[in-house]
Amino acid sequence: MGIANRIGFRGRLVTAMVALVAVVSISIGALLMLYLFEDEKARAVEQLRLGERVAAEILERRTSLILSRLDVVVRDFGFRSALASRDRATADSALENQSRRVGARFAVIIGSDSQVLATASTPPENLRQRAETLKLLAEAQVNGFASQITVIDGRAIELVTLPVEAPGLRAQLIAGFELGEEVADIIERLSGTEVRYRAKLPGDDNFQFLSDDSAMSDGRLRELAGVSAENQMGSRFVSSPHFFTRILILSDDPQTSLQLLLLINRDASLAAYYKRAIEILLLISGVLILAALIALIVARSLGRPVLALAEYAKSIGDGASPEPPRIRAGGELEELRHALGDMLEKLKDREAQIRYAASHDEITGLPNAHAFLNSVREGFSENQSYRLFGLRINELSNINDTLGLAFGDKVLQAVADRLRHELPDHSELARTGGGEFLMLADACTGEALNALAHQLLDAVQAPLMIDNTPFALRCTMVSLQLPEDAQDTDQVRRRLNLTFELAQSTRQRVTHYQPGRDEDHLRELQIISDLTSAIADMGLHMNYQPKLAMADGSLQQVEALVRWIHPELGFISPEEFIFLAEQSGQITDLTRHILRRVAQDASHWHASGLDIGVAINLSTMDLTRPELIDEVADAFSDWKLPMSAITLEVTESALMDDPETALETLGRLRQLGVTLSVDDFGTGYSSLSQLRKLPVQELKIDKSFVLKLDSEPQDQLIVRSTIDMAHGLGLKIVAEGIENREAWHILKGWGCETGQGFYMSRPVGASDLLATVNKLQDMKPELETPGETTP
Amino acid sequence: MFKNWIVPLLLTMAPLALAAEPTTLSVRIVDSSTGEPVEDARVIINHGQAAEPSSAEMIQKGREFRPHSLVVPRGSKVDFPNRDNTQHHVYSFSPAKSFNIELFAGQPEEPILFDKTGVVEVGCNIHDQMQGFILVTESALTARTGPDGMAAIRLPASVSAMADGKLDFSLWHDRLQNTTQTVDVTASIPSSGPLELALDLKLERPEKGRLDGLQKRFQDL
Repeated sequence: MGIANRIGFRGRLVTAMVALVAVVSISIGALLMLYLFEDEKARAVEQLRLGERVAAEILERRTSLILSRLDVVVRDFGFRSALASRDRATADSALENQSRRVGARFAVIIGSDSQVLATASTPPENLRQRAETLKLLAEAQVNGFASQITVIDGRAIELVTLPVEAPGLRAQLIAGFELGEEVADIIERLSGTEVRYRAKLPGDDNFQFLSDDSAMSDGRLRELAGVSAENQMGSRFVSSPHFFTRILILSDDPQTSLQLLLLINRDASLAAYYKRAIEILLLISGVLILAALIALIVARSLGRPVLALAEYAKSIGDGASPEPPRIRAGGELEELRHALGDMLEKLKDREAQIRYAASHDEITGLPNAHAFLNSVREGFSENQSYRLFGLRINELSNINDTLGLAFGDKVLQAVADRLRHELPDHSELARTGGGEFLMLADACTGEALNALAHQLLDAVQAPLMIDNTPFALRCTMVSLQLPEDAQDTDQVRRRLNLTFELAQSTRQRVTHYQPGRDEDHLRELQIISDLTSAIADMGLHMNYQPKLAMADGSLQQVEALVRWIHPELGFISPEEFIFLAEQSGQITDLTRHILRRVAQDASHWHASGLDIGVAINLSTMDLTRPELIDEVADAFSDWKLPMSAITLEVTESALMDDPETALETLGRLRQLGVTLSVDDFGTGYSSLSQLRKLPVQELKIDKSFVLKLDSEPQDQLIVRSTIDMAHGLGLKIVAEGIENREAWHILKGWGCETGQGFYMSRPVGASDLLATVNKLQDMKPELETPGETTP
Repeated sequence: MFKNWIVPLLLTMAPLALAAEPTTLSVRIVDSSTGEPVEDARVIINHGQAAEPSSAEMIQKGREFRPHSLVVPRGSKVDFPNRDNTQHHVYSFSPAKSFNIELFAGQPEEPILFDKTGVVEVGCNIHDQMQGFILVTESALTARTGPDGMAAIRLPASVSAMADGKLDFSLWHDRLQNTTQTVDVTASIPSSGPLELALDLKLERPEKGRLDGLQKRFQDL
């Protein structure tokens, strides 16, 4: 197929046509030549067969004639008298005379006792001893006559034998008649073939010709001499390069086999044959050239419209609407042109449908978000200013869920109708997904803006009847001023969403975009996108704040706190980026990273002899992940201290979001042997009944209760009762946010087990931990005895 | 085979003590190939006294020689009267007697003398199919077989009493392979029953028509 692909339609047509013509004409030519050849052969065969019959007939006639002549001779009374006279001279002369009469070459009379009675013209010496002579005599005894052709002295001689019988005379006449040129000439004349005698003489393997052959070239003579009758079984027809030959066996005597060759010389017919062959070849070549030309012309006349149609199809493919090419030829190409034309029409229809579907909402028939944003883009490029309204149907999913999708669709159509009806002319309205409609109206501010917005909102929120059901919608409406509030479609979309989010929290009927809102949003996006690389590139720092045992002021644990100094935005508070990480799902990576970092730092200080445990904060989302347990186990696989020296701190709110999953996760963490702690206790909505079931070992009182503990009696009450409650539940208490010595000692007095706060130590880097340990050693006296006054 | 026709009669003069009785010898001639009895065979016993010359006739009637064969003693004269309404040219080239009676009608000028023993073939130069045979014999003991192939020959006492009981026979028939000679055999006289002798014969006299086939072809053309 490679070649077929390369040579193209025209080449293939020419090839096919020329090949077809070549095959056909060469076949016809070959057949014709074969027929000519066969015809020549058949005619030769026929002619030679005729020649053979003629030759046989002539020889037979000649024999008959000779016999009848001799018959008269042997019955001649004078001749018989001469023989009976027993006078040799008389007998010889009589025989001489008679043999001259009949044209015999020689003759001899043999008596019944085998003695020679007479001879004429000196018969060959050994005539009477020859095998064929004896055979002849025997045959004549039976049949009354015999004849036999043989070779004598290099001549073809017919020996004829007749009995010479008369009362009292018994003898045999043997006469020889030469088969010479005259006989050959007669046969040639009657049959139209050439005639040659050839004989194989005793002791000779090859045939010799008995006639004068000076007219024929030696090569031809050799060819003829080599023509053999033996290998032609049954038929004695032989074809050799220049002759068709038929062989008549005149004498099959092994001693001297004599044959008559009938020849048709093929030179003339071969010459004619070659001439024909050349003519046919010329004709075939001519026809081939003609066929190639016709094929080229046909291919051109076919190819041009095909190419035109290909161009046509190509431009249809390119989306143009070309004029169909003019095609003179009818039939299939016309069909193809119509088909392409139809295709163009259908493509246009389908394209229109697709374009409509792509730019319209199927429920309301309004333009969709894509089309709307295109309009917005056009507005930007034309530097027009517009007021963009956004309207969202609250609770559309609830409507769909409770009243069915069909109902929801009717609601959407009703809203679309009302908006279309209320909007000023030249405004654009689109449904951009869900229950969201966007409108583009002429720019307006102040009173006009409020009037239009309220008009739209009131129209939509007015009660409506759907399927005989009275129905009232609640909607949220926002607006942006273009191009002041947004300069491109991305900003439009983002700020629109921001404003909708804002509108959820404000109680206004219509919320306008406030410039600058979007920058906060962008900062969040940047934080989210940079957090990933910060985690990967160790851009986060770990600080550790000591947790001291209140009983003796000894350092037991440090709380791991993550810190991020952003290269552009500076210090980002953990609350902010952890919240965003929870939003974006990066919290998983962050937790895993922190676990590993803490384990790594701890292994360093354990190596330097500081056996200090760690406390790590977990996020709400961490508790929903079953993998957390494995991550903890993996991170602390080389942990030297008891597993209980690892405390995982979980906020109250995290526990209360999805108590069942949290409970399951905590249970499995507990199986690892780690200590579990409730962080920020007292700020969330803890259910004390849940708290009873939780597998936690400590509560960490939120620092808001501890910061001013020495001066706020309410805080003291809360803290103290919390400590009592915790102890009652078998939990230990950690107080964080201890700012002064008084608070430390108050808590210590209440039986709080562990304390944490700036009074003892700020969070420090891992490298500064050793110095902090020493500093805390120095603080011990302070921590053990309550001072009178704060320093 | 040629035999000397002049048989020396050594036994004729021998006076025998007991003169034998003359007997009659029955000879049966059969065809050697079929075993059929042969009619018209000539049987000649070459013993005993020479026959006396006589005269005989061989007439031409209905373009045939009648009789077809004739046995005559040596020295006999045979006349050839013509009883046909056409002339005949009777002749023979046989070595025993060559003669030539030019065309004649009625009675020829004189009879022909046959003075040599042997078979003389007689023909007519005008009518090739005419054929006759004259057997010139020395012996007087001749016979001709009948339809049963039997011939009875009365043997003189001198012959029948031959010491060894063997006789020389000359046999002839016109269906012999070679009709120009007699067939000479020597056979013992059987003690009883006829003497059976076999002859090699052609089936029948061949038609004198060797060129009939050729002539027919020419007529067809």
